[in-house]
Amino acid sequence: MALTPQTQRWPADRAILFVHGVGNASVGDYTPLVEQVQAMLGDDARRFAFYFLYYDEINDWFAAKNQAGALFEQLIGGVRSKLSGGAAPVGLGNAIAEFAGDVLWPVLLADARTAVRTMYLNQLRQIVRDGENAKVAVDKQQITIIAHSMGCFHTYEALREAATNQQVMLSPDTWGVRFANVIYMASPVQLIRSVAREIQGVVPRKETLHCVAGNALAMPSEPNLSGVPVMSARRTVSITGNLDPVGGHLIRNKLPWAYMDFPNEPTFEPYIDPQQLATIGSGEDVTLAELFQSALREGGAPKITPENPHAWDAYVARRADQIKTWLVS
Amino acid sequence: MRRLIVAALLLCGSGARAQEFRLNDILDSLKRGATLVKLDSADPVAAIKLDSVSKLLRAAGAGTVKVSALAGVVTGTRVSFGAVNRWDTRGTDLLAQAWFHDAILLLPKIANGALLRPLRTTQPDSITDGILAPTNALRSLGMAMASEQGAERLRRMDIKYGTGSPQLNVLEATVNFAFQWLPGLRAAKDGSPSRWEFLGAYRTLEVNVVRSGRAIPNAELISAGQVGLRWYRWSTTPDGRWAKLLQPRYGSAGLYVVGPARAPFSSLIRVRRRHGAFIGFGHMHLAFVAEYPRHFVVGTDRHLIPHLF
Repeated sequence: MALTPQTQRWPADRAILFVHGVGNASVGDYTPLVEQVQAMLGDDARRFAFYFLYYDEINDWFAAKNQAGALFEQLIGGVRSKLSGGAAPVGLGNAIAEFAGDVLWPVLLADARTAVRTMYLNQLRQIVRDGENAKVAVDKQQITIIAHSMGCFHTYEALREAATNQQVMLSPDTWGVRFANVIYMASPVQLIRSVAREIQGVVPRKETLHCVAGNALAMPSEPNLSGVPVMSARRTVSITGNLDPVGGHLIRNKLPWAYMDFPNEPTFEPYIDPQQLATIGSGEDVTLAELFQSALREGGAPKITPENPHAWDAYVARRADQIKTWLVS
Repeated sequence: MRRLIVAALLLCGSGARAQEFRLNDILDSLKRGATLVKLDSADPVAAIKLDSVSKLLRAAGAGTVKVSALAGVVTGTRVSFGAVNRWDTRGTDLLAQAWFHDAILLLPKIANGALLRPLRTTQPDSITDGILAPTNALRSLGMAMASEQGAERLRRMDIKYGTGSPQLNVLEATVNFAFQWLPGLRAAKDGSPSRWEFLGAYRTLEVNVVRSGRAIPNAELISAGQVGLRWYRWSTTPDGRWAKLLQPRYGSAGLYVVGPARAPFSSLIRVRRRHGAFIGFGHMHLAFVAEYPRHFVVGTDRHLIPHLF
C-alpha cells in the first residue's frame, strides 16, 4: 500500500526526503532527479538514505470521490481576475489559474488536507525512527527535505503542524527533532495563503490550515521555555526563478502576494534565479504559458525539460554547488 | 542498582527498554543531567521548572507510571489497562488530568531544549545518551503511537474516500462540503474523518418487484430518489468476497421517493409522488414504498451517469 511510509537502513547519519509537486508521480518517476543529486554529491551520496513522498494516490481519492472540478471554478476565477488586475497575459493567467485550481483543493476539503499531512508526518516519523535504528541520535541526524512546487505547500503545512502540535512527536524544542535543511523550490505557499485568505469564508477548519494563520507567513517553530522560537529547520532555503509564477514571479516581476518570504529570519535564505526561456516563438509570455500548460496537464509525471522554468531538475542544477554544501555540511 | 537495571535494559533493544522505564527514571536522569551541566546557573528558568515539576509529580505518586502510559498521555492515545496499576484507579484518573499532561510534556522540553546542548558540549556521548535514554524512550514510544494513530486515520480515509468508496454527485459534494462546518458531521478534532456522509441521489435503474394477485412476481425498472445519510464502518473487514458482501464498509438510510410513472428515467418532480424509506447495505439498498400501492424496490448506488445521478 503506497500509504505505508518508506523505511530503510541508513548508511550513515543523513537522509534526504524528496517531495514532488503537481502530477501523477509514482514510484520511480524521480529516478533521474535522484541520479542527478547523487552525481552532484559524488562519493558523499553513499552517506545518504533517499526517501520519497508519493501522495498522489490521496489526491486521486478526492478527485474520484467528488467528480467535481466545479467546486473550484470560483477559485480559478478568483486567481484569474487577480492576475488580470496585474495585467498578466491571458494565456499565462489561464495556465496559472488552472494550476491554482489543481493545488488549492486541499484548502477547501479539510479531509484532503489532513490526509496528505498525516501521510507526510508518518513518513517524517519513520525517517527519524530509521535514523535511531541506525544508532544515530535524533539530535545528530542530518535530515534534509527537498520539496518542489505543491510539495512545498505540503512540507510547510506538515512542518507547522509538527512544530505546533506536540502530539505529533516531531516538535523541535519538546522532542528535539530539527531538520538540517528544508529546501523549497518554486514554492506556492504564499500564493495559496493569499488566495485562501481571500476566500476564507469557505475554508473549512481554518485553524488546521497553517499557511493562512497570522498576519504574515511564519516559519515553523516552537517556543522554548524562555519563549524564544526554536526553528524546525536549522537552515530554510527558498529557491525560485524570476520566470516561475508558481514561485511568485510574473515575467521577471516579483509578486509580493505570491512570493514566499520570511524577512528578518536569520535561518532563512532566499534565492531568486535569473531565468531565460530557450524557445521564444510568439513572445516569451505565450511560450511560458504553453510550457506550464504542458507540464501541468499531462497525465503522467510532469515532463521536465530544460525550457520549463518550473522544472525541478533545473532548479537543482542551477544551485548544485550550494545544495551539495548544504547537504554534506 | 537502578543504573545497572537501566544499563541492562539499554542492551535489550529499544522496545524492551522503552517498556521498562518509569517516570522516576526520567526525573532522576534529568536531575542528574541538571547537576552535571549546572543548570541552576546556565538556565535558571529550566532548573526551577524541573524542580517544581519533579516535586509535583512525585507528590502525586506518579513516579511508578510506565513510560508507555506516559507516551499514551502525550499522544492523546487511550492508555491500555495493562499500562497502569489495574488495582489502583488513581493511576488512570491521574493520566486523564490536563495538568499531568502538561507536566509530562515539560520533561522532554527540559531534556531536549535546555539540557541536551550543554550535555553534548561538556560530556561524552555515552553519558549524555545514558541521561537522555528514559526521555528518548518516551519519544520513541510516542512516535510509534503517533504513527499508529496516523495509519488508522489514513485507513479510515481510505474507507471513506479510497477506491471502491461511493462517488458523490454535485448535490452530494455540495452538501458534504457544508457538513464540514456542522458539529457531529464534521471531521474529529484529531483530523479523523466523519463517519457520516450526505446521500441525495436520483436513481434510474431501480428494480421494482411487482406482484399481481397470485401471479408470479415480476420485476420492472423504475426511477427513484433518495435523501439520507451514509454511515461508514471503521472496523476492519476480513478479506474475501463473501466477508465483504456480508460486512460492507458502509450502510445508509433515509427517505425514498418514486414518481407516478413506473418507468426508468421518469421525473420525480411531478405531483403524485409516493414516499417510503430505504436502508442500504454496501452499494445495494432495499426500499419500501409505504404509500399505496405498497411495494419493495431494490437498487444499487452505482452512478449511471457520472456527476449527475
